[in-house]
Amino acid sequence: MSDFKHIEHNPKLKQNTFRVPDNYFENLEERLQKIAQEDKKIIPISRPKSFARTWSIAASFALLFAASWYFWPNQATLVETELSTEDVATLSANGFLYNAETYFLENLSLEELDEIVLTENDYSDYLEITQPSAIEDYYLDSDINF
Amino acid sequence: MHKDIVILINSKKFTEAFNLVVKTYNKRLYWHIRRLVVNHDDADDVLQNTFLKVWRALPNFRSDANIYTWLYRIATNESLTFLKKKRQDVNYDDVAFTIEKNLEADVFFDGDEIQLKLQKAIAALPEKQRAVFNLRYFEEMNYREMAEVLETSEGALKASYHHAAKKIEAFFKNH
Repeated sequence: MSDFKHIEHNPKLKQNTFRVPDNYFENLEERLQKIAQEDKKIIPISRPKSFARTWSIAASFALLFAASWYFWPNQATLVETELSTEDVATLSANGFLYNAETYFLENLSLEELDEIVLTENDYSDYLEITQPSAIEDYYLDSDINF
Repeated sequence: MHKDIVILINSKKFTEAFNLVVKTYNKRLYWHIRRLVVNHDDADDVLQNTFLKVWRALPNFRSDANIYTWLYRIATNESLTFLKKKRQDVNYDDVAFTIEKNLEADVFFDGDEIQLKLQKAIAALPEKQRAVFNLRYFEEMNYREMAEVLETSEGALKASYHHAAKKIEAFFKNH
């Protein structure tokens, strides 16, 4: 018997020697089929997506969008505060927003203030030629002879 | 029967397909699992897990695949996972010893001395080798089908079965 050939071709050894409790197989089929019924309640398989699910996803996206819009820094406000020197000059010349003008003037550098004054009064030519290095160029360009 | 099941799956009649699978294969899969895990209660648990996996995977079943080997693959994997978990609690020798002892005391085991000896020899095999041996010896499955079930090459399965046979032969000599 120790030779495997005797084991391999022994019909007695191939017999099923295990038993099951009484009526086990009678109930088994019904019990196993319940698996599908019970699992359906938890995991729908290949069921068309319900409207409720679709709507809940859509609502989540809408809520996310609304929240991001509400909390996001307002770009329009930022643009308004970043006025160019020309805008400030225009506002100043027209007499608008005295307080705002004062505020911007106080916060501008000297060069920027110069620029505003020049634009407003159109003294640019005069100031340019007051620069020592530019005086000669000015006379040459203007074709003025002494 | 395979054709009927595939038609039902393709028609998305999954409950009907599942019921037909249960009706056709419940006993065969039970016995396959039982030979691997030995204890009836364990086999019953593993069988239920197997059919739960089958139910959930049914919509993804490829109609060109063989349902019989697909079911055996799920059942084998579930059994091996169960045995692996059991092995984590106690070491391998203890598991084999427990199976041997349980067989002797098992009221649901009917075998005589020589049949008990064979079951003890099988219980002493590593789990995957036990699956290979059972599929070939008791189920008389061919190597091509076994390769599909165990996702291993036919050559490796032949070698594995040969090793298992040698171990069983040695067990019979020494006991």
